[in-house]
Amino acid sequence: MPETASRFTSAELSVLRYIQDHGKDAADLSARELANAAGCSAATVIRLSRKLGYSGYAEYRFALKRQRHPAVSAFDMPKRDTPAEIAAVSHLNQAKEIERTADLFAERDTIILVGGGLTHTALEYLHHYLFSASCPTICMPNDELSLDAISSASPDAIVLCASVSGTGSTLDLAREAHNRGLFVIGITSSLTSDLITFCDIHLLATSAPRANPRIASRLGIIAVTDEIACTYTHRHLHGQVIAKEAHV
Amino acid sequence: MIEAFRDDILSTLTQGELDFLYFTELHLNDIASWSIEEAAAASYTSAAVIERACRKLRLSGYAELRFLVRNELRERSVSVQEDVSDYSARTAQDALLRETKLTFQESLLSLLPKAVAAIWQAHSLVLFGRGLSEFPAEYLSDYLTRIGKSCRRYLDPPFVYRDVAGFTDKDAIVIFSSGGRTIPVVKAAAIAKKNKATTIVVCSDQESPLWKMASIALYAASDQLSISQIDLNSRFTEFAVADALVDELLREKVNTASSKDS
Repeated sequence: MPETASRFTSAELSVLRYIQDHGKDAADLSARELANAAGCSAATVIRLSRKLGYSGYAEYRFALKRQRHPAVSAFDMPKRDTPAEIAAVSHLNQAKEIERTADLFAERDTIILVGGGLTHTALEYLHHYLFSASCPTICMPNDELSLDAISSASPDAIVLCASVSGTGSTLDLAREAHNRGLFVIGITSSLTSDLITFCDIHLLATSAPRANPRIASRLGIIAVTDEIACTYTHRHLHGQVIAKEAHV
Repeated sequence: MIEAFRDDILSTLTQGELDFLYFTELHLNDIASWSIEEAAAASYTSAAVIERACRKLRLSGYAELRFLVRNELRERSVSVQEDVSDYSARTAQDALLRETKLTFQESLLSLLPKAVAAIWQAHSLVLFGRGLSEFPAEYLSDYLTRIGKSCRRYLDPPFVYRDVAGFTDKDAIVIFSSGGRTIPVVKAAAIAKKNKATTIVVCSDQESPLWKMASIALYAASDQLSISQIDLNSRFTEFAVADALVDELLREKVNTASSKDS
């Protein structure tokens, strides 16, 4: 519900009151049905949806449906099946896209890794791993410094942007890199993020639900970065690798 | 090269002997070809100091030090190869899944609540991880901060030693280490154990001294991978165990809040 009622006309407020009173059922109604129930026109319902920041009633209705199934709380959070999550990450990404990423890392001189908060830790891990494998990268949080680095990067630079939600500063930086004509690789858990549209290679990562999106798991992103690092090492340092399988 | 020598041995060197070792570290290419007299002249020390330093480092003499330096230079020459192998990323994906399945067995899942209880109840909580294991430690530390459980994270001695030296049985340390044999991590665990603090270890080697010292040992399976003696084991399962601890911590937090309410 909105913070202030003054932004809305009386007809729009009647729709909001109806939704408040019939929250569970309102999401099942079409725009016309909702308008009839609230005593206004369908145009009012659509206008209200846009005022609330949605593209139209279809999107607002989707949000209302989601409210019926609120975010999972820690208390009733199902037990996670981490192996199943990792299997899903493998299925979501084609091996050839991981290989192409690893090969580009070997070919190009400038590789900029960008991600904020907890995702930045995942990228720091990739950065240090690749550095140990003779592939220097630049790892930065999604701040103004990254913007400067992208703005001044050479035309053949690669920018890898990782973000669970695929929104905010990381998205802005991917857009900037794309607009500059740089090669952009994106890792995100969101299929609806605009990040996809700015990426030359788009890799998907699972993200297990948590009550607070700020503490969403980054394990899917770490899995993808680990696959890139491992593939790079085996493809480009193959004569020097000594490997031994783990066992219990 | 200096990292090849144990801290306790290095601490026996005088300042002049250490200065020569630092000089060696900065001039590996020169030392590889210099005689002891040339090395002494260039580092403004004497051949006797160099010989004494070598013996304290448990080497037979300058000749063996030079041999180590040459080896070091050879090992550092990791370079990207021109030819690309036909290694498929599918193999990397399969390996990651295999390691995850090996990690998430009943033995781990049954220990997570106990580990989380120790973390949550700890008066003082320290996280420690070195090298690539620094990042799973940082990952857990960031979540703990956001959840509201304060902790201190260290990458290197001596601060971790000093912190853990003040520990009691009400405190806990979480150590991430792939091999479980690096001296600082074993030493930090030993100090914590001596003070009866809870030592939670996330480690890939169940035969390691770190594993054996742990109050709670959590297995993070990882294939061993090295290039010219540089450890490149994946730390993914260490991250995965940290993530599982976060899930359990969120449950513990809710449980604690609801028991307070009632």
